[in-house]
Amino acid sequence: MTRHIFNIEYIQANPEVLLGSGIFILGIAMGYLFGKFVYRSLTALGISDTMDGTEFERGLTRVNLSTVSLFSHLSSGFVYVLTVFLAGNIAGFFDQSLFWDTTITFLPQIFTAVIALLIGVVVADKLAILIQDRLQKFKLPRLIILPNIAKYTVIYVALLVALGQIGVETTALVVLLVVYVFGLIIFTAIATRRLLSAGAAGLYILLLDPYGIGDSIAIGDKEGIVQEIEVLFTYLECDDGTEYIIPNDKVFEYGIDRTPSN
Amino acid sequence: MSVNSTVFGELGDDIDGVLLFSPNQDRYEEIRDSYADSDIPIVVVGLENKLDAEIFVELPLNFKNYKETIQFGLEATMKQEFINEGNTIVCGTKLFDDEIDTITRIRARDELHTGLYDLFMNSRADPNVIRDVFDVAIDLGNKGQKGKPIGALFAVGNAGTVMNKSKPLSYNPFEKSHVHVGDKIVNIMLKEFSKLDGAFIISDAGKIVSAYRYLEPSADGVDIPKGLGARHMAAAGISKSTHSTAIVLSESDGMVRAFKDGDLIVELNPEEY
Repeated sequence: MTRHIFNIEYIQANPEVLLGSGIFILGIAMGYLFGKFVYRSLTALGISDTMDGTEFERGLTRVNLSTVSLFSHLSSGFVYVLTVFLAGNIAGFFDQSLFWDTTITFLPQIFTAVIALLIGVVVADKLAILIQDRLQKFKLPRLIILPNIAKYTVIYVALLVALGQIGVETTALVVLLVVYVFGLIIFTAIATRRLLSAGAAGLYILLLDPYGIGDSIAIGDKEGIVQEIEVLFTYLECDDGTEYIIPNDKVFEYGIDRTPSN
Repeated sequence: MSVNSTVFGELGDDIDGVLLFSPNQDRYEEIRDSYADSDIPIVVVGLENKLDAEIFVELPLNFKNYKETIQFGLEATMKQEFINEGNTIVCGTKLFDDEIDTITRIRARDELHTGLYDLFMNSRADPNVIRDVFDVAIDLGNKGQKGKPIGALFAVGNAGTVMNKSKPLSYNPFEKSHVHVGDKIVNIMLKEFSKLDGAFIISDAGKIVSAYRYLEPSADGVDIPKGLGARHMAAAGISKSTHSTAIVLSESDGMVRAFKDGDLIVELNPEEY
C-alpha cells in the first residue's frame, strides 16, 4: 500500500488519500500541541503542587509520570486516535458505516469515562489526605477509617459515572449507593444528635445574647460567672474556682437564672 | 553516658540532650545519625516541623533574641520531660548565617525557669490566642497611631472574672459583636480603639469582649520593676488577681511586656519583629 501512496499517479487518481495524509499530519501536530496546552494549564492551576504526596502521584512517579503529565498524555492520545480514525476514513481505508459509530459516539465516551475515573481517583486520594491531615492536628491518627470511607465513596461515584458513560447498566449500583449514603446520614444523625441540638441552641445564644461574658447566671444547679460562650458549650466559673462546661442544650432545658452581679 | 560526636567536638561530651533551632535537613540528619546509638533526645525547635523531626517544639513567635529562643526550647523540653533538672544539653542555633553556626552548652537548672513556655502554652487562654495578641501588640508597637507611639493593655483569658474586676470607661464598642483576635480587620479596629485609655479584655477563645475597661485589681504584693507606669501596674495586678495573662504595649518605651501571676515574664522589642 505504501508504494501506492507515494506514487504520483495513484495520488492523482485518489486525491482523498492526500487529504487524509494532510489531516493525519495536522492531527498529530494538534494532538501534540493539545497535550502541551493541557500540561501548561494544569501546571498553571497548581495541580502538581496539590497532588504532591498522594498515593496516586506516588504510583505514577514509579513509572516516571506525574498526574499532570498523565492527563496531558491522555489528551494527546485521544486526539491521536481521533486523527487516525478521521484520516483513515477520509483516505477511504475504513468502512464508512463503522466510522460514525465508533469515532463520533464511542471514542469520546471512552475518553470521558477514563478521565472521570482518573479525576475520581485523584480527588479521592487528595480528600483522604486532607481529612487525615485534619485528624493528625487533633492527634487522632487511629481514625484512619474516616479518610478511607471518604476515599472509597468518591471512587465509587467516579466508577458509576464512568460506567454510565460507556453505557453499562448501573441502576443496581446506584441503588446500592443511595442505600449506603442514606445509612451514613442516619448513622451520623443518631451519633451526633446531642451535638446538633447543642449547636442549634448555641447559635441562638450567640445571636440573641441572653447572657454575655462576665454575667452571673445559673443554669440548672450550676451557678457562676460566664467565662466563654461557644457554639457547643457555655463555660461557667463559680466562686471557688470550679469551672462548669455546660452543653448549650441544657440552657434550653433548664432556662437561665440571671443573678444580679455585685 | 559518654557519646562523642564529631559534630559538636568537646562540647558534645557527656550530654543528655541536643536542641537544634530550625536546622536544615542535612545538618539534622547528620546529628541525628551520630547519636543514633544512644537514647539522647534530639529536639528540633522551630516555627514549623518541616523536617518531620521525631521530637519537635513549636515556637509561638519567631523570637529575635537568642536567649529567649533557647529559653523557650529549654523550658518546653523540660516540661515534656525529655530533659530533666541537672541535665547538660547542647543547643545549636543560627546566629549569623542561615545555618547552625553557634553552639551553646547549658546545664538545665530550675533557676533558669522564667515561665516563658507556660506563658504561651499553659495559660488560661488558648496558645494561639496568646500568640495572636502578641502579634497585634507587636504590630501596634511598630506602626503606632498616625506615627505617634501608642500604648495598649490586653487582658487575655478568664474574661468573665476580669470583667467583674473592672469598670467601663465608655460604651463598649465590642458589645454584641463576635470579633476574635486573629481576624483580619482586628488590627485596624484595635488601633482605633487604643486611642482611648483602658484595657482590652479578650476571652479564652480569643473573642474581644470589651474595650475601654478600667481594671481595678487589688495590687497587693504586686512587684514590678521600678520605672514602669500605671498601665504596667494594672497589668501585673490583673494577672495576679485573676487567671488572666496581661500583655502590655508601653507608650513610653515601645516595648511589649507580658505578665502572668503578677510577674513580668517576657519583654520584646517590636522593632525587631
